[in-house]
Amino acid sequence: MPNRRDFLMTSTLAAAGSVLRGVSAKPAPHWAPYRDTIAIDGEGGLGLFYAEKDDDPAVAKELAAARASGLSGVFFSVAPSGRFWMNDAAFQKTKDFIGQCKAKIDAHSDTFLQVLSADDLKRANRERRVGMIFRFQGAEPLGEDSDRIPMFRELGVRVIQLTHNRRNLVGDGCTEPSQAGLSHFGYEVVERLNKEKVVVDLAHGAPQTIADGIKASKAPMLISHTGARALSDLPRNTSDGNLRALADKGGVAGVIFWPYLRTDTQPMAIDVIRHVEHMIDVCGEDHVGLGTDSQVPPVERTEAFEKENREWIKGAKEDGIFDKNRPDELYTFIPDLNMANRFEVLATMLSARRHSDARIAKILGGNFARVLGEVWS
Amino acid sequence: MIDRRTFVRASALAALAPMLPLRAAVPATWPRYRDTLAIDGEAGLELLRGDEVDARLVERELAEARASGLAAILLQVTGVHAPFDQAVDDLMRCRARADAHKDAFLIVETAADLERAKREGRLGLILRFQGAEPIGYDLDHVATFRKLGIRVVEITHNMRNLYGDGSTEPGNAGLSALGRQLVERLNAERVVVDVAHGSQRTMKEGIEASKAPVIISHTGCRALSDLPRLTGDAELRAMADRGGVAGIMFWPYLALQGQPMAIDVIRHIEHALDVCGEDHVGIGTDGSIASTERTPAFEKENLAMMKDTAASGIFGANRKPDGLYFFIPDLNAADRFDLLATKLLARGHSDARIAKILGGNFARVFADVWG
Repeated sequence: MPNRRDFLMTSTLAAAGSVLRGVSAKPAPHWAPYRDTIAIDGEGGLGLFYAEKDDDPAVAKELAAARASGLSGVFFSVAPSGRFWMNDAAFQKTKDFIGQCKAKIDAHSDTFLQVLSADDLKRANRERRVGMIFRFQGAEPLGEDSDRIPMFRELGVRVIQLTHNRRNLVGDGCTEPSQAGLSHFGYEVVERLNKEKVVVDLAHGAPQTIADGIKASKAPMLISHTGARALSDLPRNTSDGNLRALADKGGVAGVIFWPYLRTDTQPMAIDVIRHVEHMIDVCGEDHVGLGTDSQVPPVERTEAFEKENREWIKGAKEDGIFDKNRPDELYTFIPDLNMANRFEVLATMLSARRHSDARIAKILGGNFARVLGEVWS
Repeated sequence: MIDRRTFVRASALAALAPMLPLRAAVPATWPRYRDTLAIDGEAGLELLRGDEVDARLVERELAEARASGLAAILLQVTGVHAPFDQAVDDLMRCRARADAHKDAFLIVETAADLERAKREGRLGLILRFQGAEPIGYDLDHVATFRKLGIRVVEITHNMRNLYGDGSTEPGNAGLSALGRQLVERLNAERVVVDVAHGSQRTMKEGIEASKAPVIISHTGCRALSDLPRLTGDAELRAMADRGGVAGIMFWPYLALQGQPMAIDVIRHIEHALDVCGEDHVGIGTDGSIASTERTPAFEKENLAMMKDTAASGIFGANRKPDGLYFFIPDLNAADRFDLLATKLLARGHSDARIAKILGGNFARVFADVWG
């Protein structure tokens, strides 16, 4: 693992050398406090939870990568995001998938544990396991029934993002033309999430939905994976006004590892750092985190992958997810952070930029852990 | 039947005499009514939709449906937030019930069916949804439902759905991306777009988005009664510019305080005529076809219901629930369209105009859209 990782890191750093001028030339390979840091990814993926068979060699690879990540917590989406009708079959399917995820965690309990409390996060860190934090991206599984919130909490769902990219019954996603805020049902859902101690997540929301959600929630809330709109003026990112309002309520925004961080070419680690630093300026160091929205394992950039990825990016451009003038060579990960322990590598870069260890620990997961602990307790 | 109806009308008029400046000049019937395609933009019949309908009610409703003289009604076939499967079940049950009374009903699928319903003295049923929820995310369901007989789809009911905002929502959202695709698909499949119940912005954007004429099947004029459920002059004008029709409803929305009467219906019609022109105004009562039997039990139940409804704020702040009804008391007869026609005639409106308002305008839009 380290060999391949080191190779990737070196080669991508070399390739990206010109972009990376702002970062010290040779980041230290390790950040000493990482071992004791509760690192949390505000959105991460692991294919093995969908795999039908566990003897697939890809599963063993993923397990190794998960352990190598050093993450104590990963927000994991346990329902389809954003295109999901509320019929009984879909509701049942969601419950079934949650059951399947729990079974996978049990089957690989040396690697994973399910996070239900703040103590579980500490335990995950202590025992070198990856804590899985179940969440929804979009309130669609609730249908029209906020009583499903305590039901899903009972099943282990601890974070509910109100919308994905589209409109749902709660509010507008960021791709909607209408810029609607919360509906009546949306206000009811936020109130119930507060009451049932489930974290409100406003990522993917339209600006007005984010603003209304921050105002409506009594508990601190998250924008689990986003970017700073001031640096990259795209609907999927968050304005300084909303970032400030979020911080005033004690919330945290996680910086995403997607092409949204720039409006032109592929973002690199330096762009992640620019967004982190901008958010620190706007919100203060207690309100910034990381939510990669990438796979936990590094991507093997084979020729087949590159080809498939180009097709996917073309489709995303046609769908308006990315501007049509951007290149086809975009990735939903950061090429020079394409290794399992990307959080640690980023920490070395932040350290080289003279951020204190205490601050880096907050950004890597301390801030998320604080909000999760406050809301869940 | 005639006797009872005449009695109801006479007694209602007598009781309400001081409120009825139109009374004196009103003849018993409008001579042209027999030859008019009268269409109610939203009406209900328990025997087609109810859970338990007793034989007496069935008989009464069948008799009143015949006595209505209507060529057709828009009939909501399922609950306002029904998912696909339930909507299909309800729709098929509704069809089966209508088929069981072929002498009384005809399911309208074409403009010719409207003429036929009139000619054969049957009540045409134009099947529709209030709120596009049954379509869900899958816009192919538009074609499916058209095959099953759906001819009008209202985009939203009072609440937000995936396509737009209802009139009670705080966000006043417009159409969503999916909402725009829905309008496009309804146009392509020749299903009428209805923006009644929408927030002002959803109505405006629905009208703008549709290539075909759009109806606002049951509403009122916000200029006369400034409530979110009604329609502003700008939206009425935009609807008329696209060749659509707005139907005036028979609900308490028509006044800000007190129970609206026939004169209020007429005020809203006349305002809509001023704003839209006579080719763009209709009637959508949102009441039951059968007249309401105002027994003491009914009055008690109605007051309880009105208290809840008024408390919800949809009729405006501080609206007193006493004496409110979901019908117009001096039009509480099966042949309420004929009765209203006599009143419009007495106000000096021409026969040709009255025929348009009673249903000619709706019929024109349906023929345009259904093809």
